[in-house]
Formats: sequence, C-alpha cells, structure tokens
Amino acid sequence: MTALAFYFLAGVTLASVGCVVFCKSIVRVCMGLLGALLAVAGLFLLMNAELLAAIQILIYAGGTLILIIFGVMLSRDSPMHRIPSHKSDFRWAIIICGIILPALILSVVMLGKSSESPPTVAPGLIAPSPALPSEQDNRTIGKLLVVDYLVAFELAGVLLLVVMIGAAYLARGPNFKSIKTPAPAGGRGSP
Amino acid sequence: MTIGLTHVLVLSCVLAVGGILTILLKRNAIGILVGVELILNAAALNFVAAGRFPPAGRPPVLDGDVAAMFLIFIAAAEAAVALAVFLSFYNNHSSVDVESGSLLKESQANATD
Repeated sequence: MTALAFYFLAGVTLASVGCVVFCKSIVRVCMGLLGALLAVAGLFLLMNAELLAAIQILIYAGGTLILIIFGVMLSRDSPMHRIPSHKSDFRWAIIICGIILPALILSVVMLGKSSESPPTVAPGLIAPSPALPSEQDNRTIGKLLVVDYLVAFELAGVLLLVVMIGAAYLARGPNFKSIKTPAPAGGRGSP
Repeated sequence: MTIGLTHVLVLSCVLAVGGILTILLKRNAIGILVGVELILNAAALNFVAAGRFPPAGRPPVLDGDVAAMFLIFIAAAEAAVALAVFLSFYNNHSSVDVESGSLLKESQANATD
C-alpha cells in the first residue's frame, strides 16, 4: 500500500518535472513546479513528516510559488510569451545530464547495497516507529529548533528580515522617488 | 517490496537533475529560478529521508526535518531576492531573457540612447 502510494507520488513528480523541463510557456513551467512541490509534500506525509508537509504546502506552494507567479505577471506583456532555447543549449544539456544522472543513481544504489546488511526498512513507512510516536514529532522538532538549533533559528529570522528590506529596495520601480528628509543646512554631522 | 532510503534518494536524484536541466535549457530568468527551486526541493527530500530511514539498529532522528525546514525558509528568501533582481532587470531591459543581460553596461547604453 505504501509502496503503491510511493510509486504514484514518484510518477506525479516525474510528470511534473518533465512539464517543468520541456514546456516553453513560463506559466506551464510554474504549474509543473506546483505539481512537483505537492508531490514532494505527499512524500513527506508518507514518511510521517506531517509538520514538514504542511510547511512545504504553506510556504513553498502557497508563498514562494505565488511570488514566482507574481514575478511572471509583473515582467511580461503576455504571460504566455515564450523565450525559445537554442538547439545547441539542448545538446549540451542532454550531454551534461546524461553524465550526471547515471552517476548519481549508480552511486546511490551502490551506497544502498553496501550499507544495508539488513534491509533498511523504513520504520515510518510501515508503521509509526515505537521509538518515535508520530504525535511527539512536533514537540521534538520544536525542542530541536529552540534548543539545539537556536542560533540557526535566530539567524534565519534575521535573514528573512534582511531579505524583506533588500527585496523591497531592489524591486522599486523606475519612477521611484526616494523619500528623503531635507538635509539640514550645515550638511551632515552638524549639530 | 518495501520502500527504503534508496528509492527516495533515486527519486530526489531525478528531481535534482531535472532542476539542472531546467537551468541549462531555460533562457527565461524565472524558468531558471524554478530550476533552482527544484534542486532545493530535492535536497529537502534527501534531508528528510536521511533522518527518517536511519542505519539499522538506530532510532530515526528529526534533525533532518529541522534541516529541511531551514532549507525551505532559505529557498523562500532566495526566491524573494531573485524576483526583486528580475524586476529591476526587467525595468532596465524590458525582458527577462538572461541573454540580454550579458553586458552590465547595456542598461546604461540604453538609458543614454
């Protein structure tokens, strides 16, 4: 049952990635990204990471993707406008990915074969692990966030603040008039 | 057949290579950003899978979930900054085609024309 769900979600992911890679219209690319994000959220659910699945849907699919679609709408006369890619781009991309993909998959499979003396059965996928009851996950994650990863958590908050100010500054329009208080007569530094 | 760590890792390999392919193929800057998001999502999937499928004899840990959470935060920040840069670029070049941005001076030349 979980295997069936996994293969279904994997198929949705592959179809969405194919849509992202091969569609020319940028709107379809965004919809393909939405499909891939939702499928990955489903995989998180399958691995019993409910909180992360919710965060993925809320922040990624609900926030980041909307931001990207706003970018599409603000930067186009027609959202269906296409920028074609070169044929030579296509050939190089196929060559590069034809090398990377088999290498990655081969290394992952070899790693799996070498490391699993007993097969690594997912405790989460079969049944909730007794060592880690599902309802305690959120509590544990909260403790990890504010105890073990406190510095990273605070830095993430500072990063988001800086990004908000920086993005608002960068995205100002060409007719943006900076609001300056009139300089005092004596220039800077005068009392 | 049970689903193990290897299955999830192979899927995230495909996701990451799809992202690389998107970055290489798209000339639209927003398309390139979408490719980056795919790669970051593959990384988040790897983090969660590595935490949830521990080596034999050990309990699963939730550090991977926390790492994936930080990754999602940073991806959101990165998308916001990238889109702000694209809007600024669009204001100068009237296009988000990355090939029109090969020269940084072009925008000044256009402005003086």
